[in-house]
Amino acid sequence: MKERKWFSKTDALVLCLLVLLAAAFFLWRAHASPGTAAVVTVDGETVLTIDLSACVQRETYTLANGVELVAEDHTVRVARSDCPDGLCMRAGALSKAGDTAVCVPNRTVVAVTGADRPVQAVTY
Amino acid sequence: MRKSIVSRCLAAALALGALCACGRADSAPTASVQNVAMGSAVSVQVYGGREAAASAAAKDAYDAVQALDVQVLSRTASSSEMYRLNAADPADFPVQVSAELFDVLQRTKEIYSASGGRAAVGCGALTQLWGVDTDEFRVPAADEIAQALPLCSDDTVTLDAQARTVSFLPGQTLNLGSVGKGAGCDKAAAVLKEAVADGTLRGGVVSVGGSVATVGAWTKAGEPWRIGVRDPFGDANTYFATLSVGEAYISTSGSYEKQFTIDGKTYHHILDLTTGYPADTDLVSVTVSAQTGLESDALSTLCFLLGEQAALPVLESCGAEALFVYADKTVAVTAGLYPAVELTGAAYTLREAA
Repeated sequence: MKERKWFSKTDALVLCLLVLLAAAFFLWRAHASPGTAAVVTVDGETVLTIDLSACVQRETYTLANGVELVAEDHTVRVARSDCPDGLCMRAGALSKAGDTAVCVPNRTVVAVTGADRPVQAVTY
Repeated sequence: MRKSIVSRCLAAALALGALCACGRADSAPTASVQNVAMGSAVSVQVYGGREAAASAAAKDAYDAVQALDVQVLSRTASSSEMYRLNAADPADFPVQVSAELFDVLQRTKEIYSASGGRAAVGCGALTQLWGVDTDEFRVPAADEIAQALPLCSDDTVTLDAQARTVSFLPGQTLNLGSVGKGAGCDKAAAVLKEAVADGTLRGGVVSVGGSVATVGAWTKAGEPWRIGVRDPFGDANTYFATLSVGEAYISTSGSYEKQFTIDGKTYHHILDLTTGYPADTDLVSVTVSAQTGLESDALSTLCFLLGEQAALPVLESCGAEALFVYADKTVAVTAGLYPAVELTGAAYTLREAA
């Protein structure tokens, strides 16, 4: 009877194959679009989700509170708001995960979500 | 006897699949809340646990911030204790307050006592003059400032810990605007800590208007949290450095935050009570990591007003660390925080604080 080796040729072959497979998988994952989306909340309730990875053509969204959002070319921005400070509009075009625009008077928050955010929060 | 190739492949593929599943679960929050409270954005992200319970914990953390504002700290909502205290008839002084409000007042006054009179709890007369409270900025006349300054000292704010009472001068107004967000972080963090302790969550992060608290861990491996530090010279959503931290309370005071320009001169909102004008400094922002959210918030203001050298002993006495950003993009970091800092923005230079 043939003595059983601790590590056979077949084992090595399977192992190599798996390492290759894993490498291919991680490469694919790294290159795949993370699926960024803009989540719009009013008073904490999500009223709108815009898929930014799919958004190319200009589209305008008007919320019930009058705040107007424009999404185009994988970005979203607050285009109109009746708030006195206009801080939400000054946040500009949001595209990366973690980008936010906040309108305190209208209790509206636009935040981009996605898996590729390098930080969990920003202090300011 | 040899195991079949099929069974080997199957076992290995299962292991690989489990690994990938872990990677995915680790990278994204289980639940999150984004809303507005304390006049700014509040976000809560929680990691680990089941979605329904995690979502409830995140919501509870937000509610705790909102409740602190509405019931205790709000300067403008008539429902808050702080509002009633400021509106109280001086004939009724001393006024008894809740333990919650008393603790915030006492700790803030304690920390500001190291400011050499530059910061105070009782600074409302001046912040009102400049319109800091209402975001309707104006430059007051010199005589207005001269009249307001005697009403802006904590020497005339008396806190009695035994009776839990507060009294101050007629015409004086208390303002906790510089510590409210940090105190909000403390409330939210307490909720998340409980959820981590009972196994509902692995961890969570809260931001109340840029004051940040981290609780537990975000990944299973317990990797450090990475917190961005806002780029004072960049757009609203940019950061120039990251801090790798465990459980921490981090706040920032920056002159870029609320600015206005009148007759070609730019003013910021961090007022120095010894002059009555915005602090004249070459600092543009200070970020502080401290034992509590309230301390990090109060100390960031204090450091901005005192400057690096004078602030260091105060930081040390509070067991806190700081990152000072200067107008020339020099960044000075205290020794305890130095290894946690990574610059991500170009043109900044790092040195150890001294």
